[in-house]
This record gives sequence, C-alpha cells and structure tokens, in this order.
Amino acid sequence: MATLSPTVHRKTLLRRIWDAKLVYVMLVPTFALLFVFAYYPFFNALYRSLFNWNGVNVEEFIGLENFSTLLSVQVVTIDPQIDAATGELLRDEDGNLVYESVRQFMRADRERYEGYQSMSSFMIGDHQIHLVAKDPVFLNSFVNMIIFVVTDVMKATLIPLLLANMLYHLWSERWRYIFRILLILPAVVPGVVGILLWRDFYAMPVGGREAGLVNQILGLIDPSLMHTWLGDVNTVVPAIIFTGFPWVNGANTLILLAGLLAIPGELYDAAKMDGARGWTIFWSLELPLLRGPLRLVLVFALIGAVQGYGHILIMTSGGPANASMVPGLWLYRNAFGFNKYGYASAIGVILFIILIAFTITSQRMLRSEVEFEA
Amino acid sequence: MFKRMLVLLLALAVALPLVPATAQEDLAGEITFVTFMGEWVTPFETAAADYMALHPGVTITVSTVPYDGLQDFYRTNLVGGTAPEIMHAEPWWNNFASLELIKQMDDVFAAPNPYNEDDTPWGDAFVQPFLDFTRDPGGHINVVPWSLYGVGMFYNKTFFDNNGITAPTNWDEFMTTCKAIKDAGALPMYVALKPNDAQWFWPLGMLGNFAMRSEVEAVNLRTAEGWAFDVEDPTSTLGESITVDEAWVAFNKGIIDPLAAPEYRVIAEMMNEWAENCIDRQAALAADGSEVYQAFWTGQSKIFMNGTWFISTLVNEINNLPEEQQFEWNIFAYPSPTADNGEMFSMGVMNQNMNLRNGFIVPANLDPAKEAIAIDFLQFMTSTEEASKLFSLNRVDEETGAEYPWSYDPPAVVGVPMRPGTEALYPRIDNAEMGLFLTNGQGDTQGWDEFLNFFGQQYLGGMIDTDAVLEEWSFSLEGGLQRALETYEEDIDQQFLDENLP
Repeated sequence: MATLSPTVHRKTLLRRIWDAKLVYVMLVPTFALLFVFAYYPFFNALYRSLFNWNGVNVEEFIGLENFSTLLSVQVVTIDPQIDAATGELLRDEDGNLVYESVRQFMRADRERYEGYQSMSSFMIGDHQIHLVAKDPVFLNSFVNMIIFVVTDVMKATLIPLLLANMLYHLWSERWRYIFRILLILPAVVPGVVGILLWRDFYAMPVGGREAGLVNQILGLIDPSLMHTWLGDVNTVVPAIIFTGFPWVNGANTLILLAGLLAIPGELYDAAKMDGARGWTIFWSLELPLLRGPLRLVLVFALIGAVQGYGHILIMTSGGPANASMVPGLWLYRNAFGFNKYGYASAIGVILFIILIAFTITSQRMLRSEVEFEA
Repeated sequence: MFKRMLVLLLALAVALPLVPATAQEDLAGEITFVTFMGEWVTPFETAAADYMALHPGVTITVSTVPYDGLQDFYRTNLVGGTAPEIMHAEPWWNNFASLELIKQMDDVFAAPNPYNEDDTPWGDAFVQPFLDFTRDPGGHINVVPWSLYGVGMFYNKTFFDNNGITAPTNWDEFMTTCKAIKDAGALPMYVALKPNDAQWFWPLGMLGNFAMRSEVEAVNLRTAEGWAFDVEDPTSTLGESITVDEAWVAFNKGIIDPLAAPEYRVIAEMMNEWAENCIDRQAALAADGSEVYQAFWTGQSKIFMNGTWFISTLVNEINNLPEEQQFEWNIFAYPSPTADNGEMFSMGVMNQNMNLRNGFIVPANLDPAKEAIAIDFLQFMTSTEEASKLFSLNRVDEETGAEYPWSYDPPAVVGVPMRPGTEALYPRIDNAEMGLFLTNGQGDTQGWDEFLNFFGQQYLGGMIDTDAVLEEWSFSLEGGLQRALETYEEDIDQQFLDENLP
C-alpha cells in the first residue's frame, strides 16, 4: 500500500544563493575591499615573515629565523674574577667584587652568543646573572605591552562601568541626557591634541618656561615632588598610563549604559522582592547581564592596547632609552626605520597570535547565556 | 618589400634608444619636480618657467610635500614606481642608494653641462669637498647638490652683555661660559636627546673627525697610488672616501673601535662634560626636537646650535615678540678643543659643521625620455647663470614692503655668491680630514638607533658611565659594520680584507 507523504520542497544551497543574488552582489564590494586591504596584507605579512626582506631588492628565504631572533633568550652567569697571583677574589678600590663585563664575556664565546645583547641582570649570591637576548628591545617592549594591556583594559572598563551605573540610576531623565552629551563631546576633539596636551602637562620648569599642569599641582604640595616624568626610565611608563586621567571614555560608557537600559525592569522588581539592594543588585543582576557589552568594550581595549603605539610615538618616541617601547612601535621602527620589513612582519604575526589568544580567552571568560537587546 | 620594411623597422627600433636623448631641442614631455622646502618653491617655479621658455615641448610641474614623513613618501613612491622625476632631498638619500632606488650620477657628472660655457665636467661645478662627502660607501654620487649649510652657535647677545659673558673661542672657555650662564640663573642650551635635535650629535662628528686625523692614512688603505694625506690641504682628500671594507679593517685593528681607540674615550668624556655644564639632562630626555627652536627665541635658552636655515625664522620670530622681550643675537663658531684637551687635537684646527644641505635625486630605471628631461633641467638649474639668479631672489613683505631673501642657504654651485651678511657661516673646510669617527655602521639606520639610545639618551642623560657607553658603542658599531658589509657586498674587495684583517 502506498503511503502518502507531504512533499517537502527543499531548496538546494545554490538555489538559495541564486534567490538572494542581489544581496550577495551587494556584499561583493565589501568583501573584495576587505580581502584586498585586510586579508591580503595579513597573509602577505605571514609569508614575508619567513624572509630577510628589505622591502625592495633583498628577499631571502630564512624560514623561522626572524621568529627565533625575536624570541631567543639565554641566561649568562658571570662569576667574580680571581686574582691570579693570590688565588683570592679580586676587589676594586671600594672593596667590591670585580666582574668581567657581559659584553666581553659574550665576545669570548662568539659562536654561542653571536647576536645576543644584554637585557637585564641581577645578583644571586656572588654570581651575576644576565638575561641576554637577540632582540632585548622587543622583549622589553613585550613586558611594557602587558602592563599597558592590563591598565588600558581597566581604564576602558572600570571607569565607564562606574559612570554608566551612576548615569543609569540618575533620577532625572533630563540630566541623564545632558550627561550623555557631555560624555561624548570630548570625542570630537582629535586624540592627538589630548596627547600633546598631556606631554605639556608633564613638563618641568626649564629656562623660564613654566612647569606643566601636573608638576604645577605637585609643586604646590611640595616642590621636591616635581619631576621629569617622561624623561626618567623609572617613571615614563606610569606617566603614560596616567595620561588621560580620569580616563572618561564616552563611547564605552554609552555602550555599557545601553546594556543597562536593556535589562527588563521586572528583573529589578524581582531582585528587590528578594531583598537585594545596591551592591547586590549590581553584582548579582547588572554585572552578569552586562557581559555582552563588556565583552565588546574589552575586546576593543585589548586590540587597542596590543596594536596601539601612536600616543607613545608622540609622547616619548619609545624612550628614554627604549623604556617605553611597545611592540607596535618596534614593528614600525624596524620596517620604516631599518628597512627590515620581513622582521617587522614577524613582529606583526606574533602580535596577531597574541591578539587572537587574548580575544578567545576574554570571550570565554565573559560568555553569557542571557543577553537582552537594547 | 614587406621583409625590407620589417628589417628597417626592427633596425630603427633597436637603434632609437641608442640615440642620445639629451639633444636639448628635441626634448618634449612632462615631469614633476617635488620639494619639501616652502622657501624654495618660488625660485624653483621660476627655474621651471625659464626652462619651459627655452623648451616649449616640456612641462614641469613644481609641487610641494610636507617634511613630516618625507622619507617614507619618497621610499613608498620609489618602490611603487610612482616617484616624481625629480625629488628634493636631504643627505639621507644614500638610504635609497643602498636599495638601488635612485640614479647614480657618476656618468652624467663626468660629461660637461651644456648650459655652462666651459667644457669642464658637470661635477666640477659643485663646491668641494662637499660633493665628495656625498659619496655612498660604494664610492658613488647619487645626488645633484643644491645648497650647503653652515652651522654655528647662535647666542643671546643681550643676555651675554648684561651678564658680562663673552663668546667663547675654545672648548674650555665654552664650558666656563655655560657655567657662567647657569650661575646667572639661566639655562645655557635647551637640547632634546632625540634624533630630531642635532645639537648633541653634530659636535660628535666635528670633535671626533678632528681627533682622528692622525689615523687617516692608517684607515684609508684602498687608495690611489701615491696618495698622501695633507692636513693643511683640504683638497688632499678629494676623491677619497672610507669604504666599508676599510672601516671593517680599521675596526678590527682597534683604530676605530671605541673600546680600544683612546680618541673615543676622550670625545665621550668631553660630551659628558658638555651635558653636565650646558644642558639640563632630565629635561633633555623628555624634550622633543620641535621645542628647541622656540626655546631660543623666547629666551628660555641662551645658546642654540643651528644653521643658516634658521636665520630667517629667527629674524621673523624676534620681530614678532613684544618689544621688551626682543633681544640682539649673534653667532660664534663651535668652540674647538686645543692641544690642552688632548694631544689628538694638535693637527690643525677643528672644522666647523658645514656640509651639503640638500640636493636632487632622480629615480632609477626611469623612462629614458623623462630621465633625459630631468637631467637636462637639473643641468639648467645648476648652471652658474641660472643658479645665481635663483639664489638672489627675494620675497616682499606685504605689510612693510621690505624685501627678504627666500633663503639664506649658501649655494652648492661654484661661482654663485652668498647672501651679504651671512659670510661668517660660509661653508669652508680649514683642514683635511675624513669621516673616520663612526657613530654607527656606515649608513646603518639600526646602528644609529642603537647609538641614539645608549649614547644620546643613556650616557648624555646620565644613566650610564663612560666605560659602559664605550662598550655598548663598540658592540653596536661592530654589528653595524657587519650589516654594512652585507649591504655593500658588491663593492667589497675580498682580497683587501684577506690581506689586511688582523
């Protein structure tokens, strides 16, 4: 007996594409430009990172040597020198133990230490321990990058979160609107202006020139607190971090505010009926439901902190003595300063891998099962 | 018949490129001339107009590009094959030469300039030894010189006079002068320990090459038969340059190794003494090169090392100050060390910092017709008659009607007069010397960056001592020279290296 079954008209993939052909045609220019200006350069950089390439007439395949140079580190242990005549430890006029310089130590064993430079040193007992690297500037810049990633992410999330929460709980709708406008207004001022202003804020009084705002304020408290913040290797990184204080980020604040506005009022009512108040509401209700917007803000902050170097280029050029160098600026310097485009590409690939790792980690950490649309 | 025509056409096709394209009456086409110096735009436009009147078939467009990012702009266009036919550039052009991006001028300089009346080679029309100073480590000339510069020490004469301070004439007096300025409560020199302020690295070359004169013959080994160095005759080094292989041999012999050569220690210590007495180290570490000009004309600093190009800016800015802040200024020569500062300073006097300021480069592998126009136009511009006209053009102040020079630059073309009143900065070389004192590998940008870091910032900034800086310098210079050996591999004389390396 024949069975009657409903006829199901399943459209093939090709058929569905054909039906929506106009949409796909409209998308072609976008993807073509994306491919030409985003994907092609990236895959090209990946390929070029395997070459000794000066951008013009030298192009030699060297495999992973660029990566090896970037990441090579060795530990050198130097013992105190011994007086050949007495057999005792050699001491200088001040009674300090005498050590061979790390440069001379490495020069004596060229084969092993070819291309290595001193990165940092410390003492263990009487032994001098030196970390030597083929590119100490890159590795130090990497440490700076991590510091900037942590602080930039905090600046990009905590302050805007606080502000968004305060705005959300403002009683007056009108004042909320006014504050929103005030928050976004500074965004129309070019960022470079703010950076140049902050460079002046840190200025010391020199030759009749007045001190910058930061030193003027510190000078009112105690003149000895005035300092050349951008000219000291110990203070330049904290000074860059402090730039832009109080770090009001209008765009991020509005994104988080939109997230708060999207939370249904019934949830607040339910929480209140359960006895939740202020901090508990924020911690148990608002923060979990803000994971979506927070993730967005966080990823943008991460990308900015890993790739960004414009503000450092303007404020310090990576100095003094490369103390404020970051990988992005080092990439730029290698490519456009030293004509080492292959090497610069390798730095770019490493940055890309780091970004992907950071992004995936942050996405997993802030994964949310419930999200509300604003 | 057809075959004959074909053969004739083929023969024509082969022969045509061989016909010299420099026959001036045949020139036709369009080229672009790019400059980054606003003060030269009108004179260059004048030159283009004069040339186009002579060659109606040629169109020359003069355009300007900003100085910021200029090297990147040129490099990108040279690599992409879209570079203007003539580019006004500064002495970093040899960075492009090492990449084979710009035309070598050796051949065209060997032929006469058709716009000059004599039949001497075009290259002889440029002021020496500055033309020779442009040679790349392979010994080639890659530029058509245009203007020179003279650097001196601008000083606030009003402040000096009010405080009974006189302009120094030697190194020790210079240090005393700086101390006197500090004692009067002022800052002697506002300096930025960055690559965009030359006040800290210009003196290094001057002092260093002065100190190294006695070593010239020991380093310049790949030389013409019978050549001898004569310190009293600045022309005795003409045609000579320190090549990479010579520098590498000298380094390995310890002659130019900062760890082994005593001259490097003396110069480092002198520069450290200068930093201690004449600048504010911490402020210099934070300062940017863009601030140092203003610091002088607003009275923050009392001495400013700068060149002929600064005169017109200084005149304008001081005129714009409120009357009570205006001051009188003057220039003294960079104070030379004497034998009292070290035996190495006993051969003649220190040469001032005077050199080629800028010139014109032409892309390599240019379309032959366009190259012919570019070269012909440059010959026209640098003819004695046209260059004299361009260097004497004035601009008129619209408010006062007064005339000011477009530029105070000294000309690089022989026979073109200087601007009256600037003769004190006329480029001259008192004694012969060669560029032995290397701060980094020759033309090596990475080595220069390292030098800026350990010498400019760490040492002059007071973070490391002399022993440490000499050690860093030695290793950095060694690395830079090794890179230069690879870059200029084709110009290396391996036999010379084998015979001379210790």
